[in-house]
Formats: sequence, structure tokens, C-alpha cells
Amino acid sequence: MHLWADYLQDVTDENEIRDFVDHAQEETGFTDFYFISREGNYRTVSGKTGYMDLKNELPKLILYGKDMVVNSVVPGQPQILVFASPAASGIYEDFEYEVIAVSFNNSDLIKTLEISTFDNKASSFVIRSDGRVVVDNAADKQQDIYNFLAMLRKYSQMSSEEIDRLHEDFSQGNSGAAILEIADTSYYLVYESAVFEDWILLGMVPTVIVNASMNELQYSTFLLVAGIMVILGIVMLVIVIRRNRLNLRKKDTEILYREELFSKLSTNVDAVFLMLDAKDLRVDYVSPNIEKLVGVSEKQARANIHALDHLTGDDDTVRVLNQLPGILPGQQGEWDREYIHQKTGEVRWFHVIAFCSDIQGKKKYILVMSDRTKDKNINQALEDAVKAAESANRAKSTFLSNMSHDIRTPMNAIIGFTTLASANIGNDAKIKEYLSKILSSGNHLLSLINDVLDMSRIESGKIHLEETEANLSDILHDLKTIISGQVHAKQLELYMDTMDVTDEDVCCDKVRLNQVLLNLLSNAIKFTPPGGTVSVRVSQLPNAPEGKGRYELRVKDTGIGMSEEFAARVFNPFERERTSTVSKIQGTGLGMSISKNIIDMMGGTIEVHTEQGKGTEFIIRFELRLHSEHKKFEKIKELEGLRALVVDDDFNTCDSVTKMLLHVGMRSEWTMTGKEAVLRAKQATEVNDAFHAYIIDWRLPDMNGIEVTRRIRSLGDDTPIIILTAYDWTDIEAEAREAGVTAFCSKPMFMSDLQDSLLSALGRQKAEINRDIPSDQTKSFTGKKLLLVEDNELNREIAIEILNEYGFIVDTAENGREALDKVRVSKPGDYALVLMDIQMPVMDGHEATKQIRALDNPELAAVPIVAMTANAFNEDRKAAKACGMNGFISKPINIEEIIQTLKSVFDSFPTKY
Amino acid sequence: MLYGINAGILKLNVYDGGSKRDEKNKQKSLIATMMMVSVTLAFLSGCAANEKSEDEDTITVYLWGNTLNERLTPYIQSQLPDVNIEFIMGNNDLDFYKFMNEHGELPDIITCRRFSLHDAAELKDQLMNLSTTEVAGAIYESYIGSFTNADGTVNWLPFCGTIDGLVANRALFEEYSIPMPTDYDSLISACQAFEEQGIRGFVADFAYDYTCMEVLQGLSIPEITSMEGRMWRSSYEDMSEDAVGLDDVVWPGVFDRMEQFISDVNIRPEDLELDYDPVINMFTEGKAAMIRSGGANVIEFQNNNIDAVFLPYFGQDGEQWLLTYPEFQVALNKDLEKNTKRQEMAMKVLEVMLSEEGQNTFAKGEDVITYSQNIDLLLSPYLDNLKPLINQNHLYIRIASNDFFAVSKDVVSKMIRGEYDAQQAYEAFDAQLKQPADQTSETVLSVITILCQKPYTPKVFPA
Repeated sequence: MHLWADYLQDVTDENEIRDFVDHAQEETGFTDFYFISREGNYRTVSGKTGYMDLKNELPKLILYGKDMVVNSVVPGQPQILVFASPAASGIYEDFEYEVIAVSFNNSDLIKTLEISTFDNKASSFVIRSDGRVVVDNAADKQQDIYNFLAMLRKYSQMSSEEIDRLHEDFSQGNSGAAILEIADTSYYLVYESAVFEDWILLGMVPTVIVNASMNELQYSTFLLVAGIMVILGIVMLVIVIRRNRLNLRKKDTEILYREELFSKLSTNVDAVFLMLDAKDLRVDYVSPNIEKLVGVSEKQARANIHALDHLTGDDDTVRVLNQLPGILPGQQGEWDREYIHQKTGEVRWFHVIAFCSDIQGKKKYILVMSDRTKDKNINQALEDAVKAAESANRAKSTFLSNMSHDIRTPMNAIIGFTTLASANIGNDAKIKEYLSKILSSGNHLLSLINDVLDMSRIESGKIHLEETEANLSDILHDLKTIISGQVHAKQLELYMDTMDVTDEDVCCDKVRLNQVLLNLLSNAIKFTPPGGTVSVRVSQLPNAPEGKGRYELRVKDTGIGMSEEFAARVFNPFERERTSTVSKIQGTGLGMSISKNIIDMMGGTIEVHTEQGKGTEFIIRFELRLHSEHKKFEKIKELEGLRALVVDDDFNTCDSVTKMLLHVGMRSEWTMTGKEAVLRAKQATEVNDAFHAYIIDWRLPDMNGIEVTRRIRSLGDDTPIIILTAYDWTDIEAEAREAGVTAFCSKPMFMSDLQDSLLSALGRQKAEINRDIPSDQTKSFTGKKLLLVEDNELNREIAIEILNEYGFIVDTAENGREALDKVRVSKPGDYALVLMDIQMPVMDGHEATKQIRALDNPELAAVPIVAMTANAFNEDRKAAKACGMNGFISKPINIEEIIQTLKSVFDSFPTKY
Repeated sequence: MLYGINAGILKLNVYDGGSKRDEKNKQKSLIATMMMVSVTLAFLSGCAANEKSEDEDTITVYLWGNTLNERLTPYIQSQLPDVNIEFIMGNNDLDFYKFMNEHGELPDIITCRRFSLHDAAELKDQLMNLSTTEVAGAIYESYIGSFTNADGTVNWLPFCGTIDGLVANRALFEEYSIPMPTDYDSLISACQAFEEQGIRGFVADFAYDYTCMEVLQGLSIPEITSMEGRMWRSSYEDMSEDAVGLDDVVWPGVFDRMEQFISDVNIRPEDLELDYDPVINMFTEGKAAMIRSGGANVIEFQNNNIDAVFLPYFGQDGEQWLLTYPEFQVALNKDLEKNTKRQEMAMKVLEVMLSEEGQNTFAKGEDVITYSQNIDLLLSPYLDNLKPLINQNHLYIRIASNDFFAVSKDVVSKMIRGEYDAQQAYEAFDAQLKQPADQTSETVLSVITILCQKPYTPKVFPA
């Protein structure tokens, strides 16, 4: 109404007011709307007038401005409840009002309040404190009730006292409840102060209905609660189940993960996991890697854990299973055991740990058997390495100690003999002798240094094999040439032969192969006393891979041999049987180690067979790639089908040469004595199937080859006779030719050698391979001007002397810059060649060469440049070649090398230079 | 000790002019005389008949007037054949019952016509609280308030109400072509028109105090029912107040209007001599166009072929009002509560009395307005013109305290005689209201006590 009042205060249009009131009536359901005057008269919006008997409330409304709820009446009509408010005042249709009010009939009020309970079986009342009924909403109304207390007094079983108490409660505005009986019907009565006027709200309902409703309600509530509880229970159950499932799943997943992890771990770690029941050692779990580690299958282990007893063989005392009963829950035991792998028989080392656990009241043993073999091996290897390192260290220390001595020794000799030479100026003989010794000592020192450098490079992996085309025959023959001097000097016998070598042309690092063979031969010569024998045999072995040849090189001597102990270490660096101080046999102790490293790099093997006092044999086996254009040996037509006789006291040589002769198409035979050779020759002549070639070893046990030749010739046989010898035949050549020898062939005889010899013997001249030790070179360099670029004065002086010796005019430069300047300002042809040191200050040799090669004048830029350096390795040669150098001479200067190199260069630059 | 009286009086409310105090004294003297006579008779008739004459099963009902006896008692008895009811003629005001109460002789059920809460205060503690009864509950909220004590108790319940106002002879109006009054001015005009015809426009039995009182109030109903009037009335009827005079807001105007009316309708001093019969005669003889009367008279007139029509009191602001009052009020002796059986019987009597049938029986369904929710409005068709006013709730319940009756008689009479102007009347009225009551009743009682040795059993009228 106050809201309405606000509207009414603002609106003056009566139609609007009417519409507003109509709308409000629709909304609130009041019976009438009144404008009330100060006198208590009213006017409705429809124009109805009257007097609103508000009794004594009118002053309160108007004077005190209090809202009122009052019962009013028009006699003969239902009592109305008037809600009046002085909130609005004004004039409506000339009616001056100070109060607005609305009225409700009781029935309308009931409708408005929508009082209805228990399906209209309950009665509700609004009463005053004296019981007077304001609003009667009795159910099953048979008559109007005007006073509730009177009704109770008349119809209920309540005593007066009870009714009085009820009246008292009403008067006090108390709330309460009671059960009463009216007309044999029991009712629940509840009452509560309406806190408005003195009104009491009453509710009365038959207990049956309430009980029924309550029962129903209870039942419904029970059902509802039960339903809710059930639902809750189900939900909880579902949640619990779900959670459990999730947990289970999670646990299962975790277990699966753990199992998978454990499975993977157990499979991939070197440890066997076992879980055994403590009672009967029944296997609860065994990791699947048991078979791999100990050779006992999982099935076997599960069937009977005592299958593991076999791991320790028959030794019962070390069986871990026997130790388990002594382990209490919470304790563990550890053991190290050697187990025999039941499949491979391999001995493996295990560390076994056993735990005893109490799992849900059951005692279990958990065993972890860790395979420590690798560790042990590693440890062992480490121990060995340590020992080796210690040994190597010791050897190095020894080497250094020895080295110091070995280096000092030739140095002393050099210094000493130089001193002596300087003290004997004028005594050419002595000087010559001293110089020879100085040279020898220098070479030895160089050899020592080279060995050390080689070893260092090998150890640091800097040595690389450089395969080039090589001919085994050439290599062996060169080798023979090199060592023949030493052999002669030590009065040793040198035998070199071949066996079944059909492929001579190979690809290999000729230098390194030579180095190895030289080393072996040098040692053989070194360790064989005079009169002893050194032999070299080259064999080609069958079953080589396609494109390769398998070769075996045997270097044998009848020297002092080696002890077994040393033989085992012979390839270790710095190892020598005895120190040179004692044995007086000089050496770095690196040669064999270097040789072995080289052979290893070649993919071959080297082994030693030795017996102290009897001699030593080194056997090298390797495969070499055959030269793609290797010579196929063709048959010699002229000799095809003809007979040939091989005479050699060595069966292998006979056999080998005989096979070679077969390759050239001859029918060959062999004999091991000269006498038989003569006889067979004679026989052959007599049967008209003479031999058309004789290959005769020079040194035969009964007569030498020359004599055999003589006797065969005496038979009138002019068949070509080839003398086969390991030695230098220059001394006997004249005699041999006089005896009728057609050709000579040096051992070892290769197929090519035989072919060349036979062809030569048949008159198809082939240039003889000059395998002589190079003689002094013709001095053809006279007038040629060299530019010597060397920063070291001494070296420069030595080189000048040598070069002058050969007729060179030598200009010098002290560094690359100076050399470049000199070449730049020179005229083409001024310098026939530049000898360029590499390591120089200001500008090194490589840079100087590059810059010379970059000169504008092409002729000047093309001047031959030869490197001259102490760095004599292949890499250095390559580097020299890469920057444009034409040749390479290693320091210290070797005259032959210089001459050969220069000659070779000059041959390449014929005209101008 | 119960003192009974043999009251074969039909009308007790006979007043003449005089002060309120004189009237009271007269009344008390009368009562005392009556009691003395009764006691003497009882004594003389054999006070030795000392049997307990009071039947515990008998309920005594004191009726204020004979009308009740004629109309109501047969019905009540017929409805309660098993209840022994003594219907005794009482008085129409409360003084009688107060006197009886003072002497412990208050009957079981008492009825009175002239009533105000203020007057009833003295009896309050001896009367039953009927607030919790059904019959009380049936009474409209707005009416029960007039019977509700400050503490919320209700001792008196109203019977149906009667309507008082102006009764006009329509035929006379038609005869003289005088328009029926519709408001005060037309009323005056009509009166004057009739006066010119030698017919009294308006005449009333101003010999009676109630006529003086009702005309005085009837002319100012709008003012008396205004907010200020309500405030005054509330304070006047407050039982805690010993003597409340008139206010100076509403009441001066009341006397102004009375003075005006007296002048306007030519009320003469000789009208003070007119009682009921002369006035009725004048009306029926066509010598008076309008009289003050009740609705019942309209029916009676109509039944006697007099085209009477009931007119409301016209306020000077144009409003029309009906002056009403309950036929009687009824109360129960609190002593009935001491005996459950008697209390039940008395309640039955009350309920029958106040039942719809009971009230209809009394009213003969023709000229009453109902104060109860369970009673349908019964109005004679002759009173159809009152329906709008009833619907508009222009129903004024008169102020009916004893003082008001007495003072109204005095003051209005003097106004009619010209002794008071409005102001004087107002002041006299106010003064008389404020005058305290005297203590003459005790003297009367003490005389009776001396005369009577034993209680007297009153003679009972047959039902």
C-alpha cells in the first residue's frame, strides 16, 4: 500500500488511478479499495461511498500515521478485514482523503493466502487472543465458528483448565501444540502468535490424517530417506567400487609397470632375481635372464631350485642355498662366487646377496645374483693395463735410460771422431777413417731417432700405410741388395727363395714392408753369430680372397734365439733380451714393436718361433691387394713343351722353380745334385729329348753351378743355362760365362725373374734390371745453379760442399722470403733448381714454394723445387707435393738420395734447367 | 444473601427533567422502596418458609422490558425445556444491577437497554467474561469492541440493533407536494413548508430523555463519528476515567447544530411535554409530517395504512446517518462459574437468546440490524430505503450512558425552553458530565437489611 501511496501521490488523473487500482486488485485480490476521509467516510474508485467504521483506529491512522488492520462490518454482510494506511492523502473525485485502505472478505483472504493443508482436511484459523475467529478456514465446515475457545469448550473433551491454559497461551502470544478430541475425532492443534495485532494462527487437523500424512510423510520420508540412503549407498558403493577399481587398476597398472620395469630390468641387467619360500625353497619368482646368466633355464629353476647347485660344481661348502636357513627376517647375507655357466662352461663371477623378508607372515628369501664377470674382467684388464703401464713405464724408463746411453754412444763417437779428425788434419787416411766412423755413428743415430719417431707416430696413430704398386720380386731383391753387405761383413749365409708365388704385383706400403723386412733381417743378422745362416722365404698361400693374395714371409736365422719369456714380449716396445750394455748389441728395442704395429696395420700377423741357442724364425702372414694390372705370366711359346731341369740342393726351390717352369709351358724336372744334373742332361741328349733350359743353383753340395754348366756344355748341350744364386755374382760372372752360363738370376727367383731370364736366354733381350748397388753417379750437374734455402748455417755449409762436389753452383737464402725475392728477381733459367728447407723462420718452405708458384712469370714460377727436410715422413712428402714441390730429400742429407732425386727432377725438366 | 425484588414494572426508565444526580437519587429511592416492600411482604408472608427456594437448576434471567418478555422468553423456554428459567423483569439501565450486585443479588443473566462500558465498570468483576464464547465471537469485530473492556474481557453482549431516526408521512408530503427531504436543507424546507400549512414539520417526544439524547446526537453524527469525535468517545467510554466531559472540538458544534435545528424546525418548549402517544397521534392524524421514531413504527404505520417512510438523520454536510442501538445488552453473573452445570445452563440460555432464531423471533425480522455475523439482516421492505445507508455503514451507535441520557434531557430541554444557547448548553452538558456520583444507595440497602431477616425469593413470572 505504501508503494501504491507513492503512485497515488504523484498521479492526479482519475482514470489512471482507477486503472492502477484495478490492476492492483487483480494482483492482490482485495475486495475493495477505499479512499477514507478524516471523518471515516470512504469512497471507492467506482464511486461507492460509505462510512468505514474503524472505531478507535481512525485516530491512530490519521493522527499517529500508523498502518492498521481492522475488522469492519456492514451489518448483514460478511465481516471484512480492512488494511488501512495513512500513507496517501489527496483528492479523488472531489473526495478528500487522508487514508487509503483495502478490504478482504474472509473467504477472499483465505484464497489470497492460499491456506490449504493436508489436502484441505486441515482447518486453519486466525483468532484473537480471546478465541474470536478472524479468519475461518475450517475444513468440512458444517457451521461457522466464531470463537475457537468456545468451540473447544462446547465440542472438545478439553477440561476448563486446559482451555483456560490455552486461552492464557493465546493471551501471552505463546506458541504450542496439543491433541484434543472433538466429536470422537482426535485432532492435532498447533498455534502460534501471528505477531500481528493479537492474532493467533491456529491449525487443526485430525490426527488420523496427520498420522496418515505423517505416516505417509513418514513413509514417504522413510521411502525418500531410504531411497536417498539407498541411492547414496549405491553412489557411495559405486564410488567406492569405482575408486577401488581405479585404485586396483592403478595398482594393477603400477604392478604392471613395476613388473614390466622389473622384467625389463631383470632381463637387461646382469643379475638374477629369485624369491624363494623359506619353508621349502619353492621358487615364487625367478627372473627370466637366469638362463642367459647362469645357463639354468627358468623352468629348471622353478622345478628344482637345487639345479643352481651345479653352478659351483661339486663344492658343497660354497652353495648359497645351504646358507639361507641361517638368515633371519630383516637380515641379509652376501657372498662372492665363481659359477660355471651351465651352457657355455664359462667361469663367471657372481656377487650374491640374499635377504630374508617376512611378507604377510610368510618368510621369503630374496636372492640377487649379480654377474660381476665383466667388472672382474675389467678390473683384471685394468690390473693388467696398470701392470702393462707400469711395465711400459719401467720399460720407458729403462728405454730412456738406455736411450740416453744409445744416443750418447753414437754422439760420443761423432764428437769423438770429429775431434780426432780435427786433431789429425792432414792425415787423410785417418781422417777418412774417422769420417767413415762418424758417418756410421751418424747413421746409427739417425736410425735410433727414426725408430723413436716411428714408434711415437705409431703410438699416436699418425702413421698411415700408403698403398702403392709394388713388385715382390723387386722388394725382395732390393732387400737383398741392402743387407748383402751386412751379411758378407758378418760372414753369414743368406738364402732367399720363393714358393708358389704366382702373383708378384701387389699394392702395399712398400716402404713399411721394407722397414719390417729390414728390421727382421737386421735382427737376424745382428743376433746370428758369424758362420750362421739367415734365410728369407716368400710364399703365396692359397685361398686368398678375390683380388688379393695371401703371402707368407719367413725370416729365419740360426742365431742366439730368444728365451720363451722374452719371446712372449718381443713385440713390446723397448724390450730387449738384455740391455746393450751387457749384450753389446745395439738397438732401441723398438724395431720389433714397430714391425708388429706395421704388420697389424697391414692386417697381417707376425709370430715368432725361437729357441735359445738355436735360432729364431719370424713368420709374417698378410694379404695384399693384387695389382689390378698385375702381370699374368704367359707361356713362352718357344719353350712350350720343352724340357727343363732345375738343379738346387733345396727342395723347396726345386719345387718352386719347377712349378714356375710349368707356368711358362715347359716340362720341368728337378734334381738336387750337380752330378745327377749332368747325368740327366746326358740322358736327355741321348734320348733325343734334351733339356731346353737348365736352372742351376750356384752353390750345390757336390759341385757348384759353374762346374755343372761346364760339364753340361761338354756334352755339347748348348741349352740355355741360368745360374740361380742368392749371392752377388759379379765376381764369378766372367768365369761363369766362360763356362757357358747363359744368364744369371738372383734369388729369390720370382716368376718374372724366371721369365725374364728365359727370354733373355732365348735372345729376347730385356733390359737387365740393374740391381746393383748404385755406383757413383756421373757428375753431370756441372754449371747448374741451385738456390739452397736453409736457415741452419751448418747444414747449409754441408749441403754447399756436397753440391759443389757435384759441380752445382750454389746460391743460398736463409729463409723462404729471401728465396722468394731471389727467384722473383732472377731470370728464368738462372736457377736450375731450388733446394728448399721446410722449417725456416720468416717464411717456411711451403709458403715460399706457394708464393714462388704464384709468381707472375710462369717460367720463374715453374722452377723445380725440392724439399729438403728432416721431416721425412709420407705426410711431409705429401705436404711438399701439395704446395708445388717437385721432389723430396730427407735430412740428414744422403748423397745418393740427393743425386737420384735431382737427376729425377732434372729428367722431368729436361731443357731449360 | 440474596435480595430479590418483586418488579412488575414494565417501564422503569421514566425520567423527568432534573439533574443527573437528582435522577439517580430518585432511581435509588425507588429501588429502595421496592426492595423494602418486597422484604416486608416476604417477611409478612412467612419468612419461616425457610426452605431453600432457589433451585440450583434454575437460571434467573432479568429482562429489561416487557417486550423481551413477550417476544423472547417463550422462545427461550421452548428451546430449553429442560432448563428451569426464571424470567424476571429488571431495569433498563445498569444502576439496578449495580445495586443488586452491591447486595450480592446479581441475577444469573441480566439484560439492560441503556448501556455504556463506563457505566458497566462497576459490575465488571461480577460478570462473566464472555469474550471466549461463541456468541461473543459471532458479534462483529467492530461492534464487540464497544463491549470490550480495556483488559480484553467482554461482559456484555449486544442483542440485535434497532434503528432510530425520522419517520415521515409520505402521503402528507405528497399531499402537499412537498419533496421528501434528502438532506438537512430540504428537511428544513419541508418543515417550513408544512409549518406554513399549519402542520408541524417535525415533532418529537422530547419528554423522554432518549429523544433529547438521540436528536442531539443524531444531528451531529458526522461530527461525532469523525476522528476527533471518535477520540473523545474513546476517552469518554474509557472505564478508567472517572468523569470525562465534552471536548472542545466536536461538541460545541453539536450544540450549535441542536440550537439551529430547534430553530429551524420550530421546536417549542411545549414539545417537552410530548411523550410517545401525543406524538404518534399527531403523526397519524397528519398533524405532524415527521416525527422521531424507530423503524418498528414505520412497519406499524404501514400496517395501519399510513405511508410512513423512515428518514435518516441528515448531517449538515449532506451525509445521512441512521442512529442505532442494541435492543439490549446481556451479561452473565460470574458466580455461575462456580457451578459448571449452572454455567452451562446459563450459557445455553444466552446462546438461545442471541441465536439467529432468537433474535429474529424478537425482531419479528423486520426492523433490526444485526451485530452478529451469524444473523442475516432482516429489514422490512418498508425500510428498503435504508439499505443504501446500511450498505454504506452509515450506522451510528448512540452514546447511551446513563449520564448522557440524563444530561441530554436536561440540557436539550433547556435549549428548547430557550434557557441555554448552544454555548451554555455545551458548558452545562460538559459540567454535568464531570460531576461525581453520590452515595445514596447504601442508605437504602441498609434499611432493607434491617427489615429483612432472611433472603427473599422473588416471585417469578410464568414463562
